[in-house]
Amino acid sequence: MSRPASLLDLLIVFGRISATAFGGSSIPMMRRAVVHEREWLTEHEFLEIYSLAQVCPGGVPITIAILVGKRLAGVPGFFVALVAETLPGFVVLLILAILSLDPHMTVLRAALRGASAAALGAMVANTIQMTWPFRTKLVDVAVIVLVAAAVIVFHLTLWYVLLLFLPLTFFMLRAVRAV
Amino acid sequence: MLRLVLVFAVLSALGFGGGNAVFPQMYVDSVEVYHWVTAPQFAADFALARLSPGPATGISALIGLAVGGLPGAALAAIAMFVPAALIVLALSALYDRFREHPWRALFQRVMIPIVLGLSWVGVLLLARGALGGWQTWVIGLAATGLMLWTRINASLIIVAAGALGALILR
Repeated sequence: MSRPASLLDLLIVFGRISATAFGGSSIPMMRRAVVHEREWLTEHEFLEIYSLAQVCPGGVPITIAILVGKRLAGVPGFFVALVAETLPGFVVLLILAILSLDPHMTVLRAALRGASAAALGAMVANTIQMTWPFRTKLVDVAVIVLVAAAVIVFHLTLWYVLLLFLPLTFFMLRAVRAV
Repeated sequence: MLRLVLVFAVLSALGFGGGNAVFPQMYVDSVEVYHWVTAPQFAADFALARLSPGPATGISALIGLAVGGLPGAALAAIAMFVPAALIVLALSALYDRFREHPWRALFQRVMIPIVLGLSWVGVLLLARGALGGWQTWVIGLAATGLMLWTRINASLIIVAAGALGALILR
């Protein structure tokens, strides 16, 4: 089972991520901190929260943070995670916005490009690790490829993806007796 | 300023599917309907919010900054973050009530490959903006390797790549 988390732990973990997750690296950072470093959740529990976050309103990283906070420390954990995940990032964003008004801030732009290349790398590693346990499951691999193609090629929005793939995946999994 | 709060609160509450679902409507409201920012300014704000730490929906704070300075930024951010969070709180309470229901386990299992597919789409979309020139490929691949095979803190990797970028990507 998951280890206990105090409100202070939640504040530190999500506050650090909010302040440093340049270039869209917050989801890999969260998975690493919550599953591997703190061992608050198992891979499977994280994947469950990640799935829920996709179908909730609001940015996916915020939703993951607040759902983790709520699961570990109830409603107070929810609010602590919300503040910790949004406030530091908000302050850093405003500082950068004010700095970037200066047209000569090429150093800042170069730093952000470096950070976003690394963020992409973190996201690739994260997605490989999450996909790895399912690599031999034919239906899962097929659905992953079909969903990716549907969004990239046909620009399907989330609701159409769910409308199409929830029943399709269900019947495919049923056909191989996986559910 | 009141209108700013209302527009972002509605976007927040109806923004099922995360940031990518709300940006088109946010563009229409902020640029075409209320003229809070110009189109190039919106694009620049969007890029900055995506690269900065914290959620990409933080772009609301930048639009708020243009409309009403720091108080505008704070109000816009609160309007963007809080309604969605409260809906998530209600939904998660509902979800927890069905803890024992067999449909919940079924939903979890069926969602796995769909979410992984969406995650790979996210990787490809991120790659479009993040890769340009061989240096960014090297940084990206190095970060992938470090994340896969070492236990180095992810924040450290991202911040170090930023420092490296400042040195070599100018």
